[in-house]
Amino acid sequence: MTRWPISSPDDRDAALDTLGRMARAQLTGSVSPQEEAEARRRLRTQLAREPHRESARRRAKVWIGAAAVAAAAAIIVVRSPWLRRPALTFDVDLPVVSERDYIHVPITAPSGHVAFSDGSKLTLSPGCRGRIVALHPDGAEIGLEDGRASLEVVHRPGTRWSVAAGPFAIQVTGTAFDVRWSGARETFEVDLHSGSVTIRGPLAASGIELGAGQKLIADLRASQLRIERLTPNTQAPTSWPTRTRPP
Amino acid sequence: MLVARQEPTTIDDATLARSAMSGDAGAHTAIWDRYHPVVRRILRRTMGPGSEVEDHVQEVFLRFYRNSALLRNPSALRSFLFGIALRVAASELRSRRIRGWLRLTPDGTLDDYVGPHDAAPEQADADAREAVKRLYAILDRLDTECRLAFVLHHVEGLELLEIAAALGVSLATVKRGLTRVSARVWASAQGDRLLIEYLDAGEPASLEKLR
Repeated sequence: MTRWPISSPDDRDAALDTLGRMARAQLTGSVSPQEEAEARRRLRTQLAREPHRESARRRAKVWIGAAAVAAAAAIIVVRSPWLRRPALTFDVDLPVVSERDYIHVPITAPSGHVAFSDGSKLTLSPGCRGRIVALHPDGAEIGLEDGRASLEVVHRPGTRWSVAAGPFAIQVTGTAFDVRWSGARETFEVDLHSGSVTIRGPLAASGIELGAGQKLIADLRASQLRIERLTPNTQAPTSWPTRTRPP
Repeated sequence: MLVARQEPTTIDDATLARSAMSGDAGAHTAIWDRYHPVVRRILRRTMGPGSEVEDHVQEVFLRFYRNSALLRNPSALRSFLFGIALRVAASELRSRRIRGWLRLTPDGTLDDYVGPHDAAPEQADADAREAVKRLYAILDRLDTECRLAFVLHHVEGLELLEIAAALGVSLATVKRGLTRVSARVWASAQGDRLLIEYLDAGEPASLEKLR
């Protein structure tokens, strides 16, 4: 029997034993004969099913293992650099002056051309300057700083081309168009010869879809943007010269 | 089918365990007959009043069926089952705690379940039952291992060495853990007027009746 106040750990343990004995007396875990018989029957039923469950568990483990191996293999394949398609490359023809990603055509020279490895072509008019901002396996990002350029994109599933001209951005799928940006006059023009593009910019924040045969003209100083039908005399993309690409 | 030919009650644990390990279904039933009261009792006492334990009793014997090959010493059948029962109880207590965190039930426990023979109503009065309930409410706040150690020592009455073996930890760990957990339970019980009554020098008459 414990005495109050408790003075030592032994006394405390003895007092807790008192509670423990009370719990022991109450929590006997006994069940009625009927419940016992039912539990016994239930166990026998479950034991009889166990061999089937065991084989099902083994099959599930095999499938889970196979799925894990397949998933790991898929990740390896997708992420392997040697299995990834290489990014596009480009070659420039004179008179295009290229310094790393920066390209420009002198004002006194004829049009210049940039040939991409997927067959797409960029033509730069005299005085045009810009940048090949990024090259991807499925396309490229071109930045037009000033002047007029024509782009002919070879359409393939999943192509990803874009042209940024001043504050405007053109999303391209497969198409041929001319684009002109004048930083001095703050004017932007797109002549779309085939396909479709989406243009986003200061006067087209939510994006404007341009179809074949349409021309978009934006004048930022006048805050005007209009879309016209291309006139027959609108200059088509500069003809592409026959050339032999270096190996 | 050794067990089928002999009266199961005359077969020693080692023989019974070897038969079970060889896949004798009769041996498993005999082991159930011999040990289900012990398993149910340990589950009831570790999980506390109001807990439904029948599913867990079944789980213990099913786990034994699946893992009987791991029994290295067939004569240690009782300890082996005891260990499985503790692991099942620990697993359920952890799940209950998670359910409590997720608020699947108000406190992570099932609604009060009192089996027809659970509380020995002819012996325990309402106060004693309430006191046990409050004791387990304190234990619910402990981590699982501490709770098991406390129950095995103070409720089940096991020696420290037996507890260490059952929980698979060192004797020193059990001693340290019990000292800490006993102090904590003691401190919590001090804040409960009903529990103090049972801890006080004069044991209530109702408790005397329980002995």
